[in-house]
Amino acid sequence: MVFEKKYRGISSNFHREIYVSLYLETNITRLMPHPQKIVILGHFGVGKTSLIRRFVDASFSEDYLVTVGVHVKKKDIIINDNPTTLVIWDIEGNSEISMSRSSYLLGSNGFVYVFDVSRPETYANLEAQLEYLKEHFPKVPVTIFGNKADKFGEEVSKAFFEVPPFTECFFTSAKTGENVEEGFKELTIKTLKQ
Amino acid sequence: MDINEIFYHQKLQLVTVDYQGNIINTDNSIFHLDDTKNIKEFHPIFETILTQICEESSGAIAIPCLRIDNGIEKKYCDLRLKKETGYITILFFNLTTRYKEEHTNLSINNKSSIVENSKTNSNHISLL
Ligand SMILES: Nc1nc2c(ncn2[C@@H]2O[C@H](COP(=O)(O)OP(=O)(O)OP(=O)(O)O)[C@@H](O)[C@H]2O)c(=O)[nH]1
Ligand SMILES: [Mg+2]
Repeated sequence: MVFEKKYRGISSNFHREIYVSLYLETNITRLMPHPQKIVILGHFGVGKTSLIRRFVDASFSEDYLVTVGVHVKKKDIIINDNPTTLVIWDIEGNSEISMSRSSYLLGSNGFVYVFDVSRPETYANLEAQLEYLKEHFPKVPVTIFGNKADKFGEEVSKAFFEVPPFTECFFTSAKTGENVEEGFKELTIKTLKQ
Repeated sequence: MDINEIFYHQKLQLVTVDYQGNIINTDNSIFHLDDTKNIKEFHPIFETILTQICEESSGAIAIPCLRIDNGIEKKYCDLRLKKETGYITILFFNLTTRYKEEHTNLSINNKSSIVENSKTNSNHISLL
C-alpha cells in the first residue's frame, strides 16, 4: 500500500524504475533470514569434514585429512521456496564437546552431532553429549547423524540402532550421499523456527 | 614471541570494517585485501561473526586456529575482533607454522587411536 502511494507520486519512468528496484531489494533483504551458523560436532574421524564436502561440494575422498582448528564453509540452500545461507563450522574432533574451544560454539544457530556407526567409542557417550548441549545451549536445535551408514550389513548391525537414543538420528553416508542433504535441511528448518 | 618480532615477520594484519563488513582500512601484511570491498567476500566466517559481535555484551570475540584458504595456499590464523563505536577491528595473527606442526601431531595421534580402538572392537556385531 505504502509502495503504491509513493510509486504514484514518482513522475519519470527512469526514477520509477529505480524506485521499484530499490523497493524490491530492501524487501528481499528483509525477507532473507540471517545466515545461520551451524557447528558440526563429534569424535575425530567420524566423517564431519566428509559430510560437509558431500553437502557443499558434492564430493568424497577416502583419505583421512585430520582437521585442526576450524574450517568454515558456506552453502546457499532453499527451504520451502525461501533462500537461506548456512555458514558451516567444521571443527576438529573431540571425544567430548566440553573439550572443544568454547569460542567455536558461541553464537551457533544449530548443531549437528555426528557419530560413526562402525566405531562404538564414538557413540558410547552420545546421551551425555546431548545432555551437555541441552544444558549449555538450551535454545539451539541439534540434529544427530549416524554416519558411514554404507557400512551397515556384514560388519555393522543396523538393528542395533533401532532403539533410543538412536531413533531420532539420520543415518547418513558421506560416501554415497545418503540422507546428507535431508539431515542438513531438517536442521535448517529447526533453526529458522527459533 | 615479542610484539616487534610479530610485526617484523609480518605475522599480524589489522583490518577495520563497518558493522556491515565493508572494509574501511587495511594493511596487506598477510592477505592482500586492496581489491576486496567487503570482508565477507574474503572469508565466510564474517557472514555471521559480525552480527554476533554486535550482540555480544563484551564486544570482543577471539577465534583460534582458523583455516584460511585463498586458493593458492592454506594459512592458519588466530582471529580477534573488537567492536568500537561505528566500526569493528579485526586482527589476524598468522600462526601457520605452529598449527601445521599441531596438525601433524594430531594426525598421528588420531589415526593410531582409531587403529587401537578397532583392534578392541574388531567384531562389532559380536559385541551387540
Ligand atoms: N565408508 C565411509 N567412510 C567415510 C564416510 N565419511 C567419512 N569417511 C572416511 O572416514 C575418514 C575420516 O573422515 P573425516 O571426514 O576426515 O572425519 P572428521 O570427523 O572430519 O575427522 P576430524 O577432522 O579428525 O575430527 C576418512 O577416511 C573418510 O574417507 C562415510 O560415510 N562412509
Ligand atoms: Mg575433519
